[in-house]
Amino acid sequence: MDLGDPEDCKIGIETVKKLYETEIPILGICLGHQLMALATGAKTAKLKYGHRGPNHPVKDLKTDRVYITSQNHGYYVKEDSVDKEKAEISHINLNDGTVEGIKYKNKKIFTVQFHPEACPGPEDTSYIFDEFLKMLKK
Amino acid sequence: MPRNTKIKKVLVIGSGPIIIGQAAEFDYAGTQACVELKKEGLEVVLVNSNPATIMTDKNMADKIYIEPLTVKTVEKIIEKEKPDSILPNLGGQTGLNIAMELEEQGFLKKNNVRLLGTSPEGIKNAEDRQAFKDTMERINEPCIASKVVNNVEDAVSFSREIGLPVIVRPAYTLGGTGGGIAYTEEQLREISSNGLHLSRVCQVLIEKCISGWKEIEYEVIRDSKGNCITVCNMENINPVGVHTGDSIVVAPSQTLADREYQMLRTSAIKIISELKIEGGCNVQFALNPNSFEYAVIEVNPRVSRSSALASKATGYPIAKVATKIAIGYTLDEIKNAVTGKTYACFEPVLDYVVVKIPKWPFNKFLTASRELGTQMKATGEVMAIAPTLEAGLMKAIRSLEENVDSLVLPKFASYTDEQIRNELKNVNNETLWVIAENLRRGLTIEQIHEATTIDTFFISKINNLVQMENTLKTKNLTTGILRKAKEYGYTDAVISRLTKIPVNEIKKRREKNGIVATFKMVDTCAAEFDAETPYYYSSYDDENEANHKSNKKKVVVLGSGPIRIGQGIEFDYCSVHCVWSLKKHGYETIIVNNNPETVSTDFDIADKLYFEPLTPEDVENIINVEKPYGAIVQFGGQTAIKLTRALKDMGVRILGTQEEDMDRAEDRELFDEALNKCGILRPKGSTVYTVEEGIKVARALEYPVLVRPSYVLGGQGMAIAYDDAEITEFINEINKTVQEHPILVDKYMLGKELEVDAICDGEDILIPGIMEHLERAGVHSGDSISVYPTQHISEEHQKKIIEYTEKIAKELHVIGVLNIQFIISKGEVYIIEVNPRSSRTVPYISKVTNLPVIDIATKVILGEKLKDIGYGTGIYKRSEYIAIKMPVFSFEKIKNADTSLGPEMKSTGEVLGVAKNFSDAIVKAFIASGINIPKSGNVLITVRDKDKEEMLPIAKKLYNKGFNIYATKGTAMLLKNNGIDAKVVEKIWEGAESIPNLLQLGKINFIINTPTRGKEANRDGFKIRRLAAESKIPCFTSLDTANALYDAIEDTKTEEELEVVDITEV
Repeated sequence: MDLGDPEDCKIGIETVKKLYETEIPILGICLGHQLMALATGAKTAKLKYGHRGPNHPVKDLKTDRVYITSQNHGYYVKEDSVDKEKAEISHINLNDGTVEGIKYKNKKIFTVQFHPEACPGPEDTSYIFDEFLKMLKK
Repeated sequence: MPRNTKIKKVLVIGSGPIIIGQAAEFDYAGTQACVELKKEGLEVVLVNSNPATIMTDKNMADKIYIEPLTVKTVEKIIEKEKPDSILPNLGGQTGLNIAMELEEQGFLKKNNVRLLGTSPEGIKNAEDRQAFKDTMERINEPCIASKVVNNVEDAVSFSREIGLPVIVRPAYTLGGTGGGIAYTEEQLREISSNGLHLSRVCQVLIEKCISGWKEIEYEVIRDSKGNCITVCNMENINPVGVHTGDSIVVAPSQTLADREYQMLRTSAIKIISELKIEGGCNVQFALNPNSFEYAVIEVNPRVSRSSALASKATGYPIAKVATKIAIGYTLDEIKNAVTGKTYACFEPVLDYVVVKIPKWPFNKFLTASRELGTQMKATGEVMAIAPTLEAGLMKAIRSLEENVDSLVLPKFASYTDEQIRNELKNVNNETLWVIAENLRRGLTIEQIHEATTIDTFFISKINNLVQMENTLKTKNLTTGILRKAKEYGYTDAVISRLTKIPVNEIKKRREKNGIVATFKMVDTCAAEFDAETPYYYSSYDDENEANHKSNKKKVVVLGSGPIRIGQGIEFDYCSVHCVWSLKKHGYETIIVNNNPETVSTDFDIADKLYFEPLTPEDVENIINVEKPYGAIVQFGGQTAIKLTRALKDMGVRILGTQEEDMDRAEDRELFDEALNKCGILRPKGSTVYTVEEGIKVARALEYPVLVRPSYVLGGQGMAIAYDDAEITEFINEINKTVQEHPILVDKYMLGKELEVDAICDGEDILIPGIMEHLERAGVHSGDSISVYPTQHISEEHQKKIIEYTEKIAKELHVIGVLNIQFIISKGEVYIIEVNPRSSRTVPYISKVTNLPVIDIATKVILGEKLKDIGYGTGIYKRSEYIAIKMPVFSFEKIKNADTSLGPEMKSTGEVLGVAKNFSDAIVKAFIASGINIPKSGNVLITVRDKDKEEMLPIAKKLYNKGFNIYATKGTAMLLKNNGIDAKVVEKIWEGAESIPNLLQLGKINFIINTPTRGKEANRDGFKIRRLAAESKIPCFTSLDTANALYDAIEDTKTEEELEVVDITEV
C-alpha cells in the first residue's frame, strides 16, 4: 500500500457518493476533488513526482486561460477513467497534462485538484469561489 | 495562438550608446530578440547606433544599420527596407520613444507598419504620467499623491498642498534623468525647472515623498490571450528614495510575508491586464513597512535593466519570451528554456538568493557627489547567486573589483564613533560598509534601522558578517568556524587577514577537512523537472551538481565583470565571440562572469556558465571542478588579464599570449627593453613610487609629464602634470590605494594619436585597419573621436606603423590580439603603449572592415596560422566607407563631475557614423551622439591662455559662417583685435548677459571651453562646464573636437539627405 493513496479513503468515498446523490452544491478541492472522482467511478494514480514544490500552471479549458496555482498532491485523477456522461474535464495541468478540475453534469458540483484557497500561494484562481457562489445563487 | 504569419519582416530598434540608465541589458535583450526572430524564419532589420554591441553583428540580422537613433533616420530605414512590423519594446526607452513618435505621427500607419507587442494606447497609459494615474484610479490601484505640472509655479503650489518633501520625476526620460527629491521650495524650483527642460514633453510629476517605505519590483509577463505570470520579485535593500538602478537589490524579496507578496503580485497582474501588456513589463511598488498600505510607483511596458536582472536571477529569458509573444505566440505554447519540456507559462522557484550591487563611477570623478537619490548614477552592476544572503553580499562585494573583499573599508578606521554614526545619514555608495562599521562600534541593529530605515532583517545579515569577523579575530579557528566562515562567503584571504594565519595554511586546513566549494545548478522548478541549463553558482554544501561529463576539451573564457567607464560592453562582445568560435571548433566552453546585464551571462551562450566573482579563489574553485584544458584571458579586459598569473599558478594552461610576455608590455623596464630591441621610439619616462621621486623625474624630463599607474584600463588615475604641485596631487591620489606596481611618469608629447588592433600568430600579423584620433594626444583614446580609415596620415607613417606593429607583436610573442597606441610628433612615430589583449575598438573595427577579428584571433590562439585562415596577412584592405566612432558621456547624471577631457577616460559609451565621405560620417556621428549640429546661432568661447592663439582660426570660421561669438573679456578682446566682433559676457554668475543666464535661457548652441589645470571644483570653468552638462548644451573641451564639429557644420546635407548604410553590404 502506498501512503497517501486516495483510494484508501473508503469511508470518505462512501460519504461523497451519498453527497453526490443529494442536491447540495459542492466544491471539491484537492483530496475532495479526488474523492468525488472516485465516488463517481473514476480512477486515481500516482504521479511520477508529486506536485509539492513550485506553483503549477493550470489551464481553464472553458476560457483557454492559464493560471498559476498552489499544489500539494501525489496522486491524480486519470483522465480516461472519467465517465464523460457524468462529468467533463474543466482544468488541466500545463506541465504534465494531468486533470486539474472536473465539472459534474446536471449537478451543482465542480472540483479542482489545485488549491484556490492556498495561503501561502497565488490568488489567481480565487474566481473559483466566485463561480461557486454564483452556482449557489442559481 | 500560433505565430502571426502576416509578420514577415521586422525592424528591431536598439537602445544606442551605453549611458547611465541604459546599458548592456538592451544588447542582451536585443540579441535574444534577433536570435528568436531569425529562428522563426523572419527577416530582421536592425538599427542601433552602438557599434560595440553583439546585436549589430552580421550574423544577428539580415540588414544592419549602425545609424543615429532618431525619428528621421528610422523613417528613412523604414522607407528603404519596408518592414511590415516594428519591435519597439526591447530597445530600452530610446527604442520605445522612437516607435511611439513614429506611431503618433501616423508614419507607421501610412507605411503599413504594425507595432508589435503592447498597443500604443497601452504604452501611453503606462508612460504618460497623467494617463497612468488615471488608469490606476480606474482600477483602484493606489498611487502616491501627485500631480503633473508643466511649469515651476504649479509645482510649487501643489507642494504647498501636499507638503514637502516632494519627489520630482520628469516624463519620458531614462534612468530618472533630471529628477530628485526637494526638501525646500528653493530646491523644488531648481529641480523642476531642470526636469521640465529635459522632458521630451515638458512635463514633470510632483509627488509626495514616501521615503522609508520598502521598494519592491515585480517582473511580469502577459500574452495576447491575457495569461499572466510573474517571473520573480525583487526587493531593494535601500528603501524608497534611491533609484532602483542605484539600489542594492535582492531576489526574491526577503522581508515580505505571503500576504504582502501575494497582495503586490495580484496588483501587478491587475495592472498589466488593464494596460493590456503583450510582453515583459516591470511594476515597481512602495510598501509601507508598518501596514499593508502600498502604492504603485512606476510601470515600464518594456524589457528593462530589472528584467535582465530577473532573467539572470531565475534563468527565465524574458526578452526571448517577450519576442515570441510579440509575434503571436502565447505563454502556454512557448517552451520553458530551463527544462526544454515544460512551458514558459510558469513561475520560477528560487532555492537560493540573488544580490545585485551597482557599480558606480565615483573613482573616476573625484569631485562628483556620491549621494544617491532618484537620479541613477551607476554605470553597471554585479550579481551574485548564493545559498545565503550573507554569502551573496560577500560575493557581490568581491565582484565589484573595488579593491575591497569584505565589509571592512580601511578608511573608516580613522573615523571617530560620532563621525561614523553621522555617516549613516548619508545615502551613498558606502552604505553597506558604514552599517558594518557602526555595528563593529557597538550600535544596535535597531539604532541603525532608525537612522537608515533599512529593514532590520538586512542589518541583521550584515551583523552576522560582522560577528563572524569578530569570531575570526578573537577565537581559535576551529573546523566549525572555518566552515561557517566559508558558508558566509569569506575568502581565504580575508580569513587569513582576520586570523593572522597564512592563506596557504587556511587552504590546506579546508582541503583536509573537506571544506571545498561545490556548485549548484539554477533549476528553478524545485527539482520536479530536470533542468537542462548548465548554469552554476558556488556553495559550501556537500553535493556538487556540476558533474556533467563530456569528452570535449574544455576551455575557460573569463568575462570582464561589471560595466564601468573604460571597460564596457566591448569586452563582452569579445568574450562572447571567443566562446562562439571555440564552440565551432569543437571545444566545450565555460564562461565565468558576474555581470547580469550582458550577453555572455545568457546561459545559451557557453556550454557552461559560472555566475561567480572574478577573483583568484573563486576562479580556482571552478578550475578544481572543471579541470579545463586551458583558459583564455585576453578578451575579458583588465579583469581577466589580472587573473593570468593566478591561473598560471594553479597550473592552468594560458591559451594565447603568455603571462611573461604580457608582463613585458606592462612592466616599464621590460617594455623599454623590448622597444629598444625593435628600434622603436617611445616618449621618455621612468617609474616612481613616491611624490619625491616623481618630482625629480618630471623635472628631468621637463614638464608637462603624463602620470599614470601601471596595469589599468581606461586611463584610471592618469593625468597630465604641468608643475610640482600637480604631480604631487596626482601621485598622492594614485597612492590612496596600495599599488602593487610602480607609477609611470612620461614626457607628455603633443601630437597626432593613432591606434591599431592587430592579430598575431607569432609569425605573421593581420591589421584590420589603422584608426586616427581627431583629438591630440592627451585626450584618452576612449574619449577621442576615432576615424577609420586614417585621413591625414602619410603613406610613409602608415608603413612605419605597420612595421612597428609587426616588430613589437613578434618581439612580445603575441598569440591572439593586441592593441597599440601610437603618436606622431614632429614627424616621428612613437609607441605610447601596447596592450596584449582585446580592446575597446575591436567590435567597431570588426564591423567596418568586415573582418571577424575575434574569430580569427581565437583560431590563432588554438594554433592555426594567419596565412591559412584566408584573410591574408599585413594590413587588410582599406574600406570604401569611412566610419567615425564618437564617444558619448553621461555627465548630466553625475553631479559635480568635471566634464573636461584628459588622459583619464570619462565616456560611458560610443556611437558610429558610417558614410562614403568624411563630412557625412562626422555629421552622422554627432547626431547619433545626441549633438545637434547648428547651422547658425550662438557660440560661447572661453579658453585658457595658452590655447588662445590656436582658438582664433576656429572662432574666425564660425564667425564667418554667421555664428554670434560670445566670450569672456580677455578672449573677446583678442577676438576683436582679430576682426571678430565678439559679444562680451560677464565671467560668471551676474547680470542678464552672464554665462549662467545665457545657458539657462538656452541661448547658447554650444561652448568651446578648454580647462585650466587642476582638479578643483571651485573654478569658473568647472562651473560653466557643469552648467552646460546639466542644461544639455554641448561643451567641447578640446579645440580638436570643436574643429570636428565645424566640419559637420560645413557639411551641406541635412539628416534627411544622408544615405543610410546597411553595413552587411559594406
